[in-house]
Amino acid sequence: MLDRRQLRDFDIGLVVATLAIVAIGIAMIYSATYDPDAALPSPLVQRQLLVAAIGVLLMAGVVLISQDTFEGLAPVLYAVALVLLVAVLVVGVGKSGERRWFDLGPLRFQPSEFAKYAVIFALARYLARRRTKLDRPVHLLLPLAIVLVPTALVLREPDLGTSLLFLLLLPPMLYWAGTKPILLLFLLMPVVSMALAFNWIAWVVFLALLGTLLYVSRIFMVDKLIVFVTSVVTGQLSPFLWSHLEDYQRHRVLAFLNPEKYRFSTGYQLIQSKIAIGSGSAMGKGFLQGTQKNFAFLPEQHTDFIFSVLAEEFGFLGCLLVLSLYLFLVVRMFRLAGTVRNRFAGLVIVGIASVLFLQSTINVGVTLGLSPVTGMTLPLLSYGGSSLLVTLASVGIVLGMGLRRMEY
Amino acid sequence: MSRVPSGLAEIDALRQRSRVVRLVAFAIFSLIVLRLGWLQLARGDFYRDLSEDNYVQGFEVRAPRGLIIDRNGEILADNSVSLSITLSRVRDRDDETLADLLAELLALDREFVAEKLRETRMRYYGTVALIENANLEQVSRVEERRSELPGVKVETAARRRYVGGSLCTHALGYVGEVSLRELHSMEPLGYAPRDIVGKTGVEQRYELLLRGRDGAEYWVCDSAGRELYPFEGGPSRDIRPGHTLGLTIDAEAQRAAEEALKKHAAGAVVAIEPRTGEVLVMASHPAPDPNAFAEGLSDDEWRELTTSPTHPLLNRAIQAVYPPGSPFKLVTAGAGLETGVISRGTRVMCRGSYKYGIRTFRCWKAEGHGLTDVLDGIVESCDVFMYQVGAKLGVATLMDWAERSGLGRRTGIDIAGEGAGNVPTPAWYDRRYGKRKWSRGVVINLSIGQGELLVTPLQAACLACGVANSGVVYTPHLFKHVETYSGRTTGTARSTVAYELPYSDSTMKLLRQAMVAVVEAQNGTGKLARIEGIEVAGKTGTSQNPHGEDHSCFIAYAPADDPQIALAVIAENAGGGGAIAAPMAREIIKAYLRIEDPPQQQQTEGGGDETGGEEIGGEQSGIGENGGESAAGGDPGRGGGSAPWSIAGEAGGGSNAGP
Repeated sequence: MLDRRQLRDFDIGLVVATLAIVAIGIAMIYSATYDPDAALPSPLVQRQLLVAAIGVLLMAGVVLISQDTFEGLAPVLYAVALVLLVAVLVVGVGKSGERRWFDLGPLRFQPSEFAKYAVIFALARYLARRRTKLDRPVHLLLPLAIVLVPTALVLREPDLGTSLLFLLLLPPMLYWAGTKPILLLFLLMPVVSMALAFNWIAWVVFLALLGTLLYVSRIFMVDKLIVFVTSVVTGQLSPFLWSHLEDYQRHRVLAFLNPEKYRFSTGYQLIQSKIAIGSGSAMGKGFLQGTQKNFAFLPEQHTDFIFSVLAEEFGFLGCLLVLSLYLFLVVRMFRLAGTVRNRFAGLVIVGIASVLFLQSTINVGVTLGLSPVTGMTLPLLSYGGSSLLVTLASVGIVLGMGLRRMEY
Repeated sequence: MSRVPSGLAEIDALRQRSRVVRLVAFAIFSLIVLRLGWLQLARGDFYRDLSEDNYVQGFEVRAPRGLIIDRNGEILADNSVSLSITLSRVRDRDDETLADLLAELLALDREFVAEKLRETRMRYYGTVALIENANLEQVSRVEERRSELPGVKVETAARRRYVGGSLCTHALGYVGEVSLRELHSMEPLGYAPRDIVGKTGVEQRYELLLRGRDGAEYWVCDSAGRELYPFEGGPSRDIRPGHTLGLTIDAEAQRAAEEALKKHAAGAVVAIEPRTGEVLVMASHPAPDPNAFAEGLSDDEWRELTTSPTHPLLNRAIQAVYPPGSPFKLVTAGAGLETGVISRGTRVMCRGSYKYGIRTFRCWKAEGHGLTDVLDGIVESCDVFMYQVGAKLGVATLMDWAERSGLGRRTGIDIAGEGAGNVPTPAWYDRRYGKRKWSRGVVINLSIGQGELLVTPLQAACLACGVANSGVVYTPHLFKHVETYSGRTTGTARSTVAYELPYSDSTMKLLRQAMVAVVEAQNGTGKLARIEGIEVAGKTGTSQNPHGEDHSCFIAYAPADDPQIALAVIAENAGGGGAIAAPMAREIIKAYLRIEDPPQQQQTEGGGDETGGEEIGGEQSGIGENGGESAAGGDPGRGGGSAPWSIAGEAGGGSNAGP
């Protein structure tokens, strides 16, 4: 158990910032679902309040669990996550034909939310116990496999956004475990190649540049070849994969590239979101005063596009405050990760911070038109029970590991 | 392992990495803040303007959709003007009072009006229809109280009108508001919500030709939404009407076909000009009146249409599949001759039944046809003859010839939804029943066109085309030409060969000879298709149907020496092909060739049993093959579906008799 000395390390700032975001989120959900004729706030608000209360208790409870327990349980949690991800493909439900949630009567549970953390634990355990260097592509095959299996399963739901998140976890955690940045950069090349393959001139130029870069870099010849060949192969596969995307996923990308052309269907959200954010100006239109929101121009306003509601009603200043809170959380966690003695704990904190960082930047990026629509929610702020619960729990994990930072 | 203390070097390395990731996080957050600043601070006023109500409102002026005409220029679809009362968004409007007033003026349900007013708040531009097809009284009431009705407008719009009502409706298709799903793919082509698009038939296939270019007008409006004066310098556009689409359909023959089908519960007719593949008639019965769709159907009416057991929305001519019945004997006989299992002179003794293994298959004519050669086999539709040919050929060979004769594959007609039918090859039986779990005896039923062999009426018509046209089958098509609104032709259809029947010239000649005899000879089964003055070639058929009366079918072409029309007729549950379908074909051919009835013959035309009865000496059942062939059918439960036809795509089920 914890002793008095450890309790002094309790990071009150982390708790305050987290709860502040949750509180702002509930206020924004209240605004997004506000109906002047209704006597009570929308049931969604009541629900989110209830989930937040449970989540805070969960966060406090998780603090008590030691990191060794997590490390021991990691393989079990990973296996459970895989089973749930397979099960949801069979009995899951979703908004329009996807299979993302378990429907448990009054509750809905999204296993991919849980799987994120299971993957972090599994990856952290593997990387923490590995003593040899991680400097060649072959060394990364197993970590890649740990991530790719759940990625593929979530992709089948289909949930492109969340599955990408799994992949994006790899670079920060590998970097933390000691992989050289240059290698990580090269690992990104096949993905870049895939994106550039749609314009063959760009692709050829890219391959030439990559070839030169590889030629001058000081890595093994075999590894140079591996990086180059996989880049060529993924580039060639690109049109094939593109044609195998779901219709709506293709439209999301096309609408991102050219929202005006798709202004009545997929591009509509993006344009309306930009108008909502832009019209918020410096100070915003005031709480409950967003016209974009009130006249229902903003779709998905209490989930994926809640940031637009915030931006419309509270303007640049409000956004700056919320973004600062996220940045504070992320930076604080990364700093903590650098001071914990236990390798596993450090990696877990990096993973959790990365999820928070990636999800918040990608979600906000979507509302600002910086990224295609991914269906990713804003953690702690968007409406959504599973997400809020697991995110609060993850903050609890970080807090707990912070208390035990001197333990090996 | 992870309990091993990290060395000092590693602690240093971790500090360093921690600094790097924090820097990256900070950089990316800064990027977002920059973008946020650009949108909110630099461009904030621009977006605030956008978000506020515009004082300039755009109105679309709908271009009329192109006409659809038949091969002789008769108009099949045009547009009528309709008035509608619409609502648009107005800031600071008292929707409650307005809803009260509108409900009272127009005698509408108040809740309905309030709902429509709420809808206007969801729209940036464009209007919400309150009443489509408003009458003049409603319009004048709105006009009188204009000043009290901000955002309420009377709009005129061109509405699709199908001149002949349900005439040719399945080929024409119908139009409706673009769905969200369609909008995904059509938006880049310039479509917007509430646009009217073709949903089925040629309306859908030639949508891009038929639609015109909408115009736009811009008005400066006051805060109450009243239009003050036209906004100069707005991107106004003139309208351009859609192109006129010329079809290959012959409305005269189409009407005759639909008239003939109306006497039966359900059925279909396809007629094609054999030398070009132009579709002259495409009729499917029952047929809904598409004008009702344009006026807007209630949910009940729509449910009625989509769930009715007679499936009026189904285009039976290309989507329904039936066992071909006796017309398939042309393929069996042709295959027999080509492979050499029979020759022109081969005779078979028909005593009214045929034993294959332990089972006995009967001929439709219980007393038997006596010694029969291939010509008589076709003309008198002798089952026993065909059984023997089929037994010698075997399933694989017979079905191979069926496939090469164009059956069981889509013809590539230029409207969507065509069914493929089913040619049950041994591989198909293996898949369906398991290897060796089916009897080779299925070939007996297949040889007379029964069993799991399924074709669309279109494929049957193409078979008739092929025989008529020395084997060459052109791809059937409905498109003939397209012209601009002002009458300049901008495109015409070109005929392409779809496939050629695999029979030698001598076989083709025999088949033609046989088809002529079916109608013109004393012992022919299709005598009721005779037309004074020309020779008609045909083949009767009766598709057995374990769930009710047999389907009556007939394929034909005419005139025999210079074929101008080839057709397939099917009447569901109507009885024998000779008695029912043959006289239907006769009426259609007469209508297409514009042959007038001599006055004194008009009476006999309707009474089929008069001409037929004296010669064959029986009731209607004696003329066709009614009943006879159904005796041949084995256990109907095996392959039987529950409907008298099956929809294309599910065709594998095989709707009629089992093996």
